[in-house]
Amino acid sequence: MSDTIHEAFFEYLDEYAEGQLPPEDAARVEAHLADCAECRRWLEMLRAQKATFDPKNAPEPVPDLAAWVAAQDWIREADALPVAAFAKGNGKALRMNRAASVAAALILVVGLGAIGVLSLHPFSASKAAPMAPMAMDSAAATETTDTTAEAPMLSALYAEDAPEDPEMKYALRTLADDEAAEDTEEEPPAAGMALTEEEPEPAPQTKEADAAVQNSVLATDGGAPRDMTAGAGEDKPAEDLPAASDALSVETTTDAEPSASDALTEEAPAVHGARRDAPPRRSGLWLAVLVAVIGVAALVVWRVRKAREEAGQGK
Amino acid sequence: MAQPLDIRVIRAQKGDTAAFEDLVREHQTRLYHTCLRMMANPDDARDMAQEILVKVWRNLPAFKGESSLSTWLYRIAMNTCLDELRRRKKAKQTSMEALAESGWEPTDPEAERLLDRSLNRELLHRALDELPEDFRAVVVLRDVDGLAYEEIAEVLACPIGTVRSRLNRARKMLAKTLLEMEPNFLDRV
Repeated sequence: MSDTIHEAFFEYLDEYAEGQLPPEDAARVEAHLADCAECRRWLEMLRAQKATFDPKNAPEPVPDLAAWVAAQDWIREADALPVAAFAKGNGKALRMNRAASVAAALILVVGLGAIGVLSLHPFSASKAAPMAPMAMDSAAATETTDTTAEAPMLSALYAEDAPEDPEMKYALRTLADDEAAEDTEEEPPAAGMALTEEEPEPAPQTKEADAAVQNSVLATDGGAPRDMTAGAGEDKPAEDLPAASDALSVETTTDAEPSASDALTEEAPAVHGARRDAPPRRSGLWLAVLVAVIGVAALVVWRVRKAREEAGQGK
Repeated sequence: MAQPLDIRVIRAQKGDTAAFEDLVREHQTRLYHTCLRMMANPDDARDMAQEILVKVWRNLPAFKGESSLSTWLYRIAMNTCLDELRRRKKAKQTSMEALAESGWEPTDPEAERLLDRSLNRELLHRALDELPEDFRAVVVLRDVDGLAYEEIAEVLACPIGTVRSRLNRARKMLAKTLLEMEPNFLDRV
């Protein structure tokens, strides 16, 4: 039959059978049908197909889908929710939104916590390096910038057992003065613990000098060194170190400094810079917030796009 | 262009289950027959229809009225049925074979006419079932759901020209299958 179907009119027979052709096109089809028995038979077949497939003529009983829906748990659950809960959608969507919100909150918490830990980690690692060679300075590791740590240093100048050596006294005074000056310039730490643990960071260069001082002091007085070392461990900029060591006229720490800095690794300068700049933990926190915001935004965008795709594709 | 939403749609989007059931009641006949013509099996058709209604409920809040509700519903229905058909093979048994096996024979002219009509129906259903699912989809949307070419194009997300050519080819394939099954089919129409 396909050989006899007139292709020129075949495409229009379907619309003609539905009465959807414009009047002029319908007239052309009818003129052709008047002369073409094959197309008339094909038109009849089309009408038979349509009549057969029309649901109005179908003998098959239609199940009561509305009753099935009413009996479903997801409908009963939705029915139990207040209308206000559907402000953004139905119960299923609301639960999905809640799940997305919980996931976003978890990402925020985990992101902040992870970055917070990471921001602390560099300082704990760098702190370990100088502490190893400076085992005798374990007290210095727990130093703080509070005045109680300063006191031993200053008091050492006036202690009865203060060294008589004028150069030594000058060194002590210099170190104490530097301490006091820096304490007045230094901003209070935003988070106390980080800075206190940072304190020893610059010490490697300083601590080598202090060790040299200590060694020389030990030669004169066994008591002072611990105070000196403790005091020297605080707030001693590396730049001031040569002056102290020159004043001491002891073996300079310039040779020792590289080894100390090696032990410290390159984190010390960064710590110096960090101490003078805004505390690193602040930038770490900002970074954490930024990462968390990006993560939440990405999650929201993904959820919205997925919902739109599902709605658009009807899946 | 977005169309104003039916008030029942708006209420159903806000969780009014009675409004949603009302919408289901309005569309269930065509929905079921769409599934039936696509799946060629009443049990499968019911399962598909139920699965489709779950999807409709879940996605209703995202419906913005950019198409008619019927078009949107049929899009979900077609995608669900086509996905299922592509996923599995179907076992087919025609009513004609079942009737012949049962030994039933007509005894009067009226019964004969009914049998002819029934056989015609079965022939057509079988021929439809023989069509590839993409061609079957356009015939079902056209003849079962009564959609215009533009609406079919929207449901299937393809150009109108594709709808026309696909429907053309589907009709020819149907005719060829029918005549192979029953050479005198046209005489019985």
